[in-house]
Amino acid sequence: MKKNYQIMKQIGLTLFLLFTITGTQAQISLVDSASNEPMNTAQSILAGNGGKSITVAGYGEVHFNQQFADTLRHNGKMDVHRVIMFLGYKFTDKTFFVTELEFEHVNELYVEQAFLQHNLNQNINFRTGLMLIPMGIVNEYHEPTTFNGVERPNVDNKIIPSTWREIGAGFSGKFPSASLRYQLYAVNGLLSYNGVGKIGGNSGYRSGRQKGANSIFTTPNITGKVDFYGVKGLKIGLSGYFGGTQSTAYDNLDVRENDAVAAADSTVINMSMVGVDFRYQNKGFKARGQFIYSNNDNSDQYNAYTGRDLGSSFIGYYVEASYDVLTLINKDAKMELNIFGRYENYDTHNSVINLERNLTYGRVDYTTGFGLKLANGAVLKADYQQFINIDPTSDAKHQINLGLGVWF
Amino acid sequence: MKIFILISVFAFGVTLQDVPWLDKNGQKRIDKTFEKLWKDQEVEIIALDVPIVVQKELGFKVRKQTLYKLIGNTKHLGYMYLDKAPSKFDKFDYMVIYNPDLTIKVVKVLVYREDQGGEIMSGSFQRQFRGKNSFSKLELGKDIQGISGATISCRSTVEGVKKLTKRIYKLNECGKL
Repeated sequence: MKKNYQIMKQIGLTLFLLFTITGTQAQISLVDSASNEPMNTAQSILAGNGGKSITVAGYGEVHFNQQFADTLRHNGKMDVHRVIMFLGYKFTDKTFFVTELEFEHVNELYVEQAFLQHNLNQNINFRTGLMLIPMGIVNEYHEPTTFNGVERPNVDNKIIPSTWREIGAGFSGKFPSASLRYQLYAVNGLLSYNGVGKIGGNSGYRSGRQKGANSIFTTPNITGKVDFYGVKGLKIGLSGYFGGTQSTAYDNLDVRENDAVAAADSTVINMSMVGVDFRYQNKGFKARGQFIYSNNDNSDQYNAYTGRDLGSSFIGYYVEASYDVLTLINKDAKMELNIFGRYENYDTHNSVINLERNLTYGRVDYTTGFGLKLANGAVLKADYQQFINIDPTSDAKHQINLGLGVWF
Repeated sequence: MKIFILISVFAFGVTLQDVPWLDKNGQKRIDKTFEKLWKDQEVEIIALDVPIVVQKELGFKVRKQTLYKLIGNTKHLGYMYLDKAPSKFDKFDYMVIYNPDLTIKVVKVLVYREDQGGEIMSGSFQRQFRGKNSFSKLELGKDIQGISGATISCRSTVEGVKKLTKRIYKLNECGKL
């Protein structure tokens, strides 16, 4: 009797699961707009992006870094640096939602993008949610097969705090006849103070990123970028970011208390960041470069109040060239072997006010190596880096990096 | 001088507006392209229907209202092939116009719905296909220069154009054009 009951229970459970699964599929069954044939979720995902309602994509990179020096021994580091999943849902032809979910170093989970976009017309899209700040090249295009080197350029780490994303809203679009793409957003700013100063000379703006996680909002920032791509193989971008940082010092502040308001004002930096970048490709040859300058107004007050060492301006630039040497051997080669070299120069103490300039914050980096593209979206990388401080008393550091990158 | 573009109702009683997935922006871009290519001419656009038996023999589908023959003043101008191709999260509509000898005359992205990758609408990218045919090599980064930041859509365009060009060649070989 007990056995029969268990069998009945199993059958009931199976039927329940079947019903549930079937019900779920029915609820989210999709239609191929081209053929008008119904599709279930699995088919839609398997079909790739293809204009169906659900899209799954991803990228990932695994790194090995080994620093070495003449007299000091350093342990190497092996790291699943990032594994990312994109999930997109298209509600209508004009409205879709995109999320980018990221595992960093295996055990850190982030949402890098989560925005809703609505197409107003051929030239204008409205976008709102957690979005990437369109500064420079790598902050927006950071899939590992799109840049040379195991690690991203340091200018895109120390000066632009890549991956820089905040919650906001704005417009983007293109004017194909003029070969222009534009983006203009109002976004939440970096957090400069939450009881302690968050930004400084050593890590730049990185610790100020709020990443849309219970972020504090006091004043909107404006960011935008215009790209011109009218010349074959060339793309030129002009980007900007302007606004005051966010601070907890204003919370529950009585505006009649002038001293308290003045103290709170000392926790805010008024940022003005501008950048210009280019990317060029002609057959096997590729080149890119970027220049970023950021002014930090009120840095002296901020440093005096928080005890930090924020420079009154940051500067950073790099140039890079690469060549696919396999095109020399076999023009029809399916793989690519890109040999590259990159020169970077950046300084978070480009200028200082009422502060002694720290020369170790100014650096020149040389990176050279190769990327072997086994297939579209799969690359093996190896490079050597030399980091030189502008401080003449400081020794250069050296590092070898190995890595793999995928994007699908 | 007045420009006439005639979108005729011929063989199967359809007009371009009947293409179920082509919106008015796509239609506008087709009209503009025709204006540029054939000023002062009436262009008859005749939908070609490929029997299913032939499609099966050839091993690919030719959807209705995607392949057209173009006639101007009784002169054969070429063919127009419409298609969709995937971008990162969506699909875009594009057309390829062929000369009578099946070399590519124009590649034009008609409707691009996503934000990222919209650079493929640039003339400098699309002009690279001109004069290619089914025997031409079409590899992104080698024969066709891509655009940074639009890699997926560039590759998709190249693959799409390659596919249509091979198909139209096969259709011609079996006398279905």
